[in-house]
Amino acid sequence: MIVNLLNPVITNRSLNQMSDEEAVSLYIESQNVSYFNLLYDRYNDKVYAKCISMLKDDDRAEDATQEIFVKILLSLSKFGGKSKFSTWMYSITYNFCIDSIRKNNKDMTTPFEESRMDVEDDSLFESEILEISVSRLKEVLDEINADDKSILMMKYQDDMSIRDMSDVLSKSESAIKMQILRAKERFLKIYHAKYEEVYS
Amino acid sequence: MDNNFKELEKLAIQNRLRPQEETKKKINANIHFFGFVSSILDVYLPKIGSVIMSFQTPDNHTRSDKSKYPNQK
Repeated sequence: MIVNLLNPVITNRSLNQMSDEEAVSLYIESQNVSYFNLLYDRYNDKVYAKCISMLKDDDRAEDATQEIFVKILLSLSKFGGKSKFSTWMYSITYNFCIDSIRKNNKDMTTPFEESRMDVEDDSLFESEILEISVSRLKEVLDEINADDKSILMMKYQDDMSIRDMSDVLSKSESAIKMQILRAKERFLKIYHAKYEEVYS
Repeated sequence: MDNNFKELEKLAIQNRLRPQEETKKKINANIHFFGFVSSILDVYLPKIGSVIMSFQTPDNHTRSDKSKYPNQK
């Protein structure tokens, strides 16, 4: 309350023009909730969309959204500005959801093993996947494992670069390319099995 | 035009059942709670620290050795 009174008047206009990174540093400096609310208003829908896609349950997704934002709030001082704020926030979101799925034993996949093989072309199978209708995409995404789903969402939903993913997941760029390729292969395998009659 | 992954994201947002303000209120309640706890710690932690320090310093013993009436011979 005292901090709010001491701070200059923050108009909606000045808040809207502020970058995410500016809002983070101003929140750390002043602890003024308005800056955090700005980030929440900008991203809560996207965080929720990722949670519902990963967790497949509305109540769990809402609870996860709340917990993720509290986690973000408590670790804002650790945000070093190495990547974009949204990239950093999405990485917390994906990690939270993957941990939550593992705790509930609904996903029994083993962690991805780093491969020495180098993938030259990471756009392989891309056009086929991007041509799938939204309803079928949802159905297939609901069947693939959490690691594959999160890496595909990072690439096609969040437009993260290989470098960003490498930073976020603490893996080499070649390992990320291989993980994407494997995820696409498994995605298409399920897709073809599910809609086999369409092709036959 | 957005790709199918982005369309799926939009669809999930459109179908969101709970109003986002509800979650926002809960998060703000958390923020106020953390603020309250940290202000309590700000006020009382130095005092607790000084109490612990007073137990550890040998000052207590020296005090007891001193005469109750320092001016008395």
